[in-house]
Amino acid sequence: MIRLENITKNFGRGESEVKVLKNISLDIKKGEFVAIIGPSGSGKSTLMNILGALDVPTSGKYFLNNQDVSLMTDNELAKIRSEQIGFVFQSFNLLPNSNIIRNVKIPLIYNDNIKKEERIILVEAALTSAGLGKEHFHKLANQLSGGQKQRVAIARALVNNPKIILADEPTGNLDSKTGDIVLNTFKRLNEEEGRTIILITHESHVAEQADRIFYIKDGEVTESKDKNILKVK
Amino acid sequence: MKFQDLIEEIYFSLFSNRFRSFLTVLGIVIGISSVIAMTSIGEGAKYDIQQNIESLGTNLLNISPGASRNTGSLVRQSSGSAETLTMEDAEAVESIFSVEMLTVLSSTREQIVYLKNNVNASINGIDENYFSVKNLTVEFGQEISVAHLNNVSKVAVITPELSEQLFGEGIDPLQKKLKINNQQFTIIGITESSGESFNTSIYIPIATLQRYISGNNYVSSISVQIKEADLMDLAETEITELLLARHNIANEDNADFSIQNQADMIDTMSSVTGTLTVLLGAVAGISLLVGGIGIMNMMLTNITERTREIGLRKSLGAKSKDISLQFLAEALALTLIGGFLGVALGFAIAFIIMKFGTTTLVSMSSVALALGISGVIGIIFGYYPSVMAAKLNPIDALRHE
Repeated sequence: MIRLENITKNFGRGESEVKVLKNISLDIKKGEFVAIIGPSGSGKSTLMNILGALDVPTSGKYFLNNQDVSLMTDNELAKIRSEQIGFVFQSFNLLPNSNIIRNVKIPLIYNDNIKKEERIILVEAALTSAGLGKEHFHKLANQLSGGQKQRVAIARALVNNPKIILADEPTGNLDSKTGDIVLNTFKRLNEEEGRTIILITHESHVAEQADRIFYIKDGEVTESKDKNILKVK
Repeated sequence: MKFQDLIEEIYFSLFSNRFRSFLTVLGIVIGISSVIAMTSIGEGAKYDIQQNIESLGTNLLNISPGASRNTGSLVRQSSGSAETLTMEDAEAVESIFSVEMLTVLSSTREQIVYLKNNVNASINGIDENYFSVKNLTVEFGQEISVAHLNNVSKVAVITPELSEQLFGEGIDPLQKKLKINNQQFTIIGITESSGESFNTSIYIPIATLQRYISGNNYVSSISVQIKEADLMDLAETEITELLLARHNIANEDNADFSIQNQADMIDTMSSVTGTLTVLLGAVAGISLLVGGIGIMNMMLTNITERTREIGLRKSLGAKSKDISLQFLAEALALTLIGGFLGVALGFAIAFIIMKFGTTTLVSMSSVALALGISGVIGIIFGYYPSVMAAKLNPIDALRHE
């Protein structure tokens, strides 16, 4: 489903050029739950941006469902983001003065394939799937707790029914108990709904939930077969 | 992105920033309403002047003695003071085909005496047509008639303002006798009030004035009413040629009389008030410009504040076009809301000014212009911020603190 071939990403030019990603190649199959773990400054956010079609690599190829994303224009990237990828951010990024339904609806207004009448059905289905009760639907985003906010964000990521969920430090702003609930939501989406989950984190206990773990450091990626290796590193 | 979604997004975005939106709209409201109100004053003045000129009579040509108005000299003798037009000239002009009616006026200033009261007034020697050509009405008593002219009667029609000064308030002056140049005149009529307190005029038969007061045959002006508006230019040419021939003048530039066309007067006054309107509009336009800069300021502030939101929208599938469209439409919505409220307020201000006695006239063209300008301002001042917003890189935007 996802294949990276010799991806590099450089920032800056000339002497100030920084090689953030160096020759990264990896494969993620449909329905996998994958974690990418690394310390801050390792390049994991840059990798996520490329995986999420928010940015294009300096060199190398990125195939998503056999389409070469690395050659796409801005508008084509926007279409990929709209139809194939759901984002979950560390800081939730909800519109604070809007209610839950409106927040979850945003991806739909940029998706021309979905009719207006279908929207509310999709929004409610996504919220239910993300584990948020109906009693919260009409609350404003800034009236919710952190865990609830992240579930709204997950619902927002699900509403376009993407095959891939890309989560950047989804538990970073949550206490461990709510963090676990959110992690379980991802696991359930993976196991019950067959969605491919890519989870980016710097916490090993979060990464341990995944089927496979990629370790990124100084722009290079290694796959660790043994989850226990994390504790050593 | 569907149009309805765009409207909804604009509504939420402007509504969640209510206070700032209100202040921004206020800038536009003030700009637009002052444009409307200011131009309404200019238009009102224009309307007033037109009404005034038209009330002097319709299809009127006014012949005055003295040098032509085309000499280019800034110094002119006061109208009617030269002695170049005579009663015979007037009779000759009356014979021209396109002339409907004609009236002569010979005026001077004299002391008018009633008992111990003295008033310096303008003495107008007129004929029987004067009141109808000049659109004047005698409210009480009678007008100067042909019989009065033929008999060289010592009768007078006075303005109510003069009556008040001579006889005092509330006294009926009819049949009272007053003295001009030691000649006794009987008051036979009172004109309608013109509403101007300094209008102390007295009208007597022109024959009487010429015999007892001025002692000559000259007239101060000949007012000619032309049969149809279309004939005005033709009549003006014919009268000029006739009078040049009668006065033995070969070159029109040396003419010892001048003809004023009522249409010319309206044109001249309209161009003056037109300039006034433009001036007032321009001053108000500056405040509109300031309002526009306010819009741009708000939109740029918005972009800085909503950088994360822009990044988020992009990550959720918004194209650059969707983002720029939203910001441009927000700016346009602000200016158009401001535009409509401004037009309403402008009408209200014009109405209030009217209540205070200054004529105002809100023309539809100024409303259309104001709304058009507000739309254009929205597009101009909204365009730059919208391009800025669309250019934001989604990753940078999402990282923005």
